[in-house]
Amino acid sequence: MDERLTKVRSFLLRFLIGVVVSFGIFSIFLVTQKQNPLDVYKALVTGFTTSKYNVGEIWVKMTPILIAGMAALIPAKVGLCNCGGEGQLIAGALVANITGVYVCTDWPSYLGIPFMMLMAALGGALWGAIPLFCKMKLNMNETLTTLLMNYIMTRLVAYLVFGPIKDANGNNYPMSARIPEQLRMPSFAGSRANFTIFIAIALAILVWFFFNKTEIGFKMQAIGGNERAAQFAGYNVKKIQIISFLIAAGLSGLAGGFVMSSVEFQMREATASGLGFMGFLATGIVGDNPLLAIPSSLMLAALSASGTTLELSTGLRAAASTIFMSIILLTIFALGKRRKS
Amino acid sequence: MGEVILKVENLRKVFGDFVANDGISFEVEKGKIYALAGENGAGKSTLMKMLYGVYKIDGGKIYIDGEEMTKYNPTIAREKGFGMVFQDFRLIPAFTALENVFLSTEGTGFYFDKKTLRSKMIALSEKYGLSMNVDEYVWRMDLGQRQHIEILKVLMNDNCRILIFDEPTSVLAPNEIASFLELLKVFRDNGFAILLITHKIHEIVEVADVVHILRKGILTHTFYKEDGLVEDDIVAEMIGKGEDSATGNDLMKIQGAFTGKASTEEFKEPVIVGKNMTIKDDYGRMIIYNSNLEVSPGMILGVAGISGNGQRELTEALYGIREVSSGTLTLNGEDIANKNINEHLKRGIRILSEDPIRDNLVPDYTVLQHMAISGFNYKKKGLNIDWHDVRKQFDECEDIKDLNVPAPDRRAEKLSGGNIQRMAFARAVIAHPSLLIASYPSRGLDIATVGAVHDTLNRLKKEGTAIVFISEDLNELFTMSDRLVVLSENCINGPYKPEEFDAQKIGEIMLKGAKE
Repeated sequence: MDERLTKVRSFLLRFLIGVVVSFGIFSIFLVTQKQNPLDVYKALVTGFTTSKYNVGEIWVKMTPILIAGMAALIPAKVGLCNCGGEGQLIAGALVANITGVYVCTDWPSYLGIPFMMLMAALGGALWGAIPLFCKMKLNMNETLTTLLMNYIMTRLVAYLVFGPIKDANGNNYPMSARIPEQLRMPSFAGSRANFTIFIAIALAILVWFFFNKTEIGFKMQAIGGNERAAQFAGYNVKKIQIISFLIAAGLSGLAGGFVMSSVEFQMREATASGLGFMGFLATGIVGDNPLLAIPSSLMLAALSASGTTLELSTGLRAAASTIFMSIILLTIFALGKRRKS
Repeated sequence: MGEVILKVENLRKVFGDFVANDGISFEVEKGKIYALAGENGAGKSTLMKMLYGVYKIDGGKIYIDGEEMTKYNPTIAREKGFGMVFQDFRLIPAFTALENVFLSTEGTGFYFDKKTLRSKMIALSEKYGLSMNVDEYVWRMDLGQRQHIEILKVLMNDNCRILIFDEPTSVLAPNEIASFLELLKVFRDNGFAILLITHKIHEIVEVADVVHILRKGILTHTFYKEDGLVEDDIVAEMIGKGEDSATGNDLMKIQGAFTGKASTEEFKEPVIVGKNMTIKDDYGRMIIYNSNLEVSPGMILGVAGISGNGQRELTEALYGIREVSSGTLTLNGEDIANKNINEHLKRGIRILSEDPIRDNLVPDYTVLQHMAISGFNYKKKGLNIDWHDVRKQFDECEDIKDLNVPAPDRRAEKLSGGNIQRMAFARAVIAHPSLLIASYPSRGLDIATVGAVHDTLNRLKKEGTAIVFISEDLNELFTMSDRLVVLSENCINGPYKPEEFDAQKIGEIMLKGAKE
């Protein structure tokens, strides 16, 4: 078990070095923009420490990122690549919206919200089932199909909000109707964040427990390690892969449901976009370790929430935070690629 | 006498302590076919790789056109006119023949001049009678055509005058082999010198002008076509029954030892019976056709044969991971052909695969974890595996101690090949299987562990395990086996009683099939 500890330690170290180096690189960028890097970093920190709302925005982003991260991590453990968290998450948000607006309009909260979440999860799973079918029956590469399904979902949402689900009372904006009040999850006072952040963190811990402390988790990782070896040991590889993938896609959908019920309430073209991809990155940079995914998704969430703060306090474009995020990701990936043989 | 293109003197190649080639000298003339024959591991491929500059020579000299090559590598080899046709085709299926040839053509610059390339390819194809549509996609071609592309690649080099073929016919169907041999003759008549690595006697006798026999890295004998090539003589030289040969002496000893063995030993009803089995390889070709197999409890059935004759496919079919295309396979009278692999495991069938790294190894897992993947029947503790129980079993297991299995907490990706072999073998035997399929169990192991492997097999045999034992070491096969079968010519030949047989006869069947 010692080896595993050193592995985690080396990840953490790489992570820290990555962040520090990125700050350095980003400073160069800031100087070219005639900004004092120290002022900018100070503005970032004060932005998050002085405003409850700003901190809440981090939790708001972190919840779906972390859950979508698990949706990439679980299939990775059984040797599949799910790049479709983005589309599955949006599918969940979309289904949750439709369910809330058209199905359980008059339902009480205690029935309506769970039902909406269930439908969101099913929506995500169903969207994931399409590339899964292509993989299992038609032998198509799931990395590509899951990725492409994301773009189909984006177009589908665009079509729906411009047409079939456009809010009749919405002044002709391309938006769906809002879900009724009683189906919205309550937020903490003074921010948009709510208790789903705890669900997300608990889920990451549960996933860690599952892969490290259960027999089935052990078997699943054996499949990811060497599919043929698992076959030789008599494991039902395909069945395990199918179930894992569907669960993962369902989790993505659930994250979408959370976004819909706690933050967005209505579908627009860009609702929930980017969160699934960030989730994929959040687990990618920590080598598919579910516990380390908690800090990494926190970091990504903070960076993506910092855009507005930067714009307000320093006059930099919000896109500057995206540049910063990309620098950090590339640095960590670059450091992570130093594996032997 | 033709013109001498290539001359080598006292070539030597050493890998660590292992001498792969030593003292090899010969000459190569234009317009002749040189066959290089020998068993697996005799050093044929090493020799060819030295001639082509892939391996640096550790001793001796290479002369091309009388000029000594002090600096030598594949680029120089190609400039001097060497062309190597590889055994494993290096083609991109999604590209056409033309595009594949383009990829390997040197000095074409940035611009893809399809027109010139196409006309050159067509001209060459017509000249030598290669059958090919240059604009056909490779994935649509059969293996014979793919080989023609590989040959074309080599011929695109205008200097080319020496063609090296490494086991060219091993991937071809019988009808393709015949036309391939014709093709070789065409090249010869066009003035090419041809070096042909093979262990197929028919082919040698059919086309070769000179036959060099390589045994244990040394050129032991040379036959010339003028003196007549006799299949049996060549086989005898390859296996080495001469008095001076170490292998020969070993085999004599074994045969002596066998006189003591009870040849009248009676075996019980067979546990596993395969009747009229046909098994296909990964390319869908019938590698084993309409063959029978029986193994009784307490019997070691040795499987001899040159590798690539269906060993892998046979073991995988017995283990249940490969389809038995036709025929029956029964275990204790119960049909198990094409049943789920778990059904096989439940009935106590275990395998040591020919390639444990490919088939068994989970790089991230420790040795102990591998033992839990299969091997021990562990207890559960809540949702988890009771790892203390697994560890206890590991520590107490005699087989693991005897076989010197590496420490339980070592990660598999850091193990050496020998250690992986120990682990995989231990895993296959600790469950006291009813049928053990052991592919090359002593491969990569030191002598002490080989002894432990043999002891384990003999002990299992006494306990009543039926054992299918695959090896390429005739010595080992003769000492261990109660019965022998030989894989060759797409058949399971036998069973033979080892004491009524000698290495010479087995070797003949390995190379030529059983003539019945």
